[in-house]
Amino acid sequence: MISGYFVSQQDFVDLVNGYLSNKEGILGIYLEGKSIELYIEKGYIKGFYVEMEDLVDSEANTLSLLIYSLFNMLDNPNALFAFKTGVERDNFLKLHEPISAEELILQLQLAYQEFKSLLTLIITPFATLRVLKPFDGMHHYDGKTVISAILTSKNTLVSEIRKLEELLRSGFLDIGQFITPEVNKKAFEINYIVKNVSLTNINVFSIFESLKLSKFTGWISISKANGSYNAYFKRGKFLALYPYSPDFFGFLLSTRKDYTISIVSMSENLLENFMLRHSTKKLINNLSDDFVELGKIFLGIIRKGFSGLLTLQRGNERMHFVCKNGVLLASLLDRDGIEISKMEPYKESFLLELVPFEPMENFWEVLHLLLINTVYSIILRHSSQAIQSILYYLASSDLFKVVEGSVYFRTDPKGRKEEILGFLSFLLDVGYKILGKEKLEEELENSLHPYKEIFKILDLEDYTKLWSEIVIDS
Amino acid sequence: MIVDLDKKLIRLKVVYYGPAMSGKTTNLESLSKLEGLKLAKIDTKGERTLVFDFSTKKVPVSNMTAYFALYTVPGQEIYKDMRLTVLKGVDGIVFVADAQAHRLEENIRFFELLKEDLSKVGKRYEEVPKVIQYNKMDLDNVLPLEVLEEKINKDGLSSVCASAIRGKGVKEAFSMIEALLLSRLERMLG
Repeated sequence: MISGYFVSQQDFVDLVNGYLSNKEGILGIYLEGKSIELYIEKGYIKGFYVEMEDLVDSEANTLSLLIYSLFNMLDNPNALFAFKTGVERDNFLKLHEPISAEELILQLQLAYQEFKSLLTLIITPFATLRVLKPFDGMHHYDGKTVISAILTSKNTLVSEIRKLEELLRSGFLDIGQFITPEVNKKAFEINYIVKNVSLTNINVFSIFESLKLSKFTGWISISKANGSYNAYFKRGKFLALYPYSPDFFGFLLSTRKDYTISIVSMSENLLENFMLRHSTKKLINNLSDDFVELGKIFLGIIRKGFSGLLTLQRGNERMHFVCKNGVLLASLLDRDGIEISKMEPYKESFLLELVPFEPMENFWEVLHLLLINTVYSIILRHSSQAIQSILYYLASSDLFKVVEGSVYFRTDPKGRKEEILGFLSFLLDVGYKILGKEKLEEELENSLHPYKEIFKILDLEDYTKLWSEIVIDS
Repeated sequence: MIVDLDKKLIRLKVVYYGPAMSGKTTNLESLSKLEGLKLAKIDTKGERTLVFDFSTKKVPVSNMTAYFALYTVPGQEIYKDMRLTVLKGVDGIVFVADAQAHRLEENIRFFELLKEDLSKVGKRYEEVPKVIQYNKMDLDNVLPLEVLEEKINKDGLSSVCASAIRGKGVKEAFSMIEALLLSRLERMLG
């Protein structure tokens, strides 16, 4: 297996035209967030896979589609590649006649040259064609986009491009409106609604209420000099908080000058994967580029249909690649804020993280941590030094730790609901024995009261009521 | 040159190079008829065709088998990328000059261009075996061989007169480059 970067057209041409000329295997190319795979047998390309769903239809001329999809390689040759032996995907497109790597390159260069000439007449391949004067075969063009006309033609791509150019120049065809390409429907968005504004200038409750009503999807980041809390929302519902900390709710109640808030909206399918930046289940964690070839990582992502997050870090900058089923959904650049990026991946001096997809919702765990801390602090207030010491000892486990009087998760608590509930029941039992049921309920009511508005806004109110009924009454 | 150690095959790439309409394609078409070669064609605009072929005759050399792949390059400037693609990995050149007087300057310019192109694809001009074919010698307005040799063949390369359209000098030009390449290969393989 070989892998690396194309930095010029010539690199691409040399690889295909030279290295592949008698090889068998798969050449994976990762370019501008899309992947193209060529299946090669004895130097002949017999099929391919391309992420151009809008162009792939049953009528498409597969060779024309392959050549057209490689135009980007000539436009912008900065791409990652990897070549390895293996079997093709199930959904790869088979060429009717295998084409040699060398002929493909020559056809590509020729078609690309002709297409550039055609572009001066059509402006965009998504321009619609209309017939001005009747001619044989005009139905193939009328009302179709240029791209559809050239890719569904039985003629070779080059001859169809030439024919179309001739028809346009001689006045048989003209271009009409432009059709927005389907690919744009997949566009993802990230928008900063509020960016780094002091908490003192924000009415947190109004903001939260507004986000809830507007079915907000995205995250709220509350930052201080030494870290930040990230609360994630999906369609207005509180989804998760990272890092796990009961302090977050306290910050919402305070108006600390040294805290800033950012509110960022993000497309739903991006958000679910983007949250993986907080995952602790990393396949690769902070591996230097000295030990890893990025091209191979991308090829692995494609081949394995990987879903998750690939992150490259260089200094204070991070590039996140959000992948779903082996397809790159978006590239994000984290540099003074997160943005959708078309930047090429770093080529050197970076650390790499690869995180497979897992559900990142944790509101249950976060809420229970808050409840644990509430009960824990009540007990501390009403117990002797000796009981406090015993409690401190009991509260420290492989799941929990106590820091300055507050309980935190020591490790990722996902999948450990029974232990969390068990510890909470234990604390309630201790509280009940020290304070009695009535006093404990009163203290709980007083302690949770300040959060009432927050719970209401976060739709956690019903949940806490239910919990109170079940746990305390039991 | 591409060597397939498993199959013991050596593929030698011969490129027919020269100005547009000098007869490069006609050479290959004639050769294909004479040798029974299978041709593949890619139409380039304005000029005629760029032809290449993968199944030519095979020649045993040492314990391996050499075979030739023949190419022409498109002469037009807009296809310079394709010209370089074709030249990549070239083992031998047949420079097809148009012997007509009015095309002398173009022949000379293309010969210089050959040197530049070879350099661009990582080849040293001096190290690539070359022959010159003076084509269209059957026409009335051609320059005398001495003049052509003096003006174009300044390096004293092997050369041959031809009328590719009549099949004359075609096989000879190929045989000359074939001999150069095979003797070189034999030296390399001991």
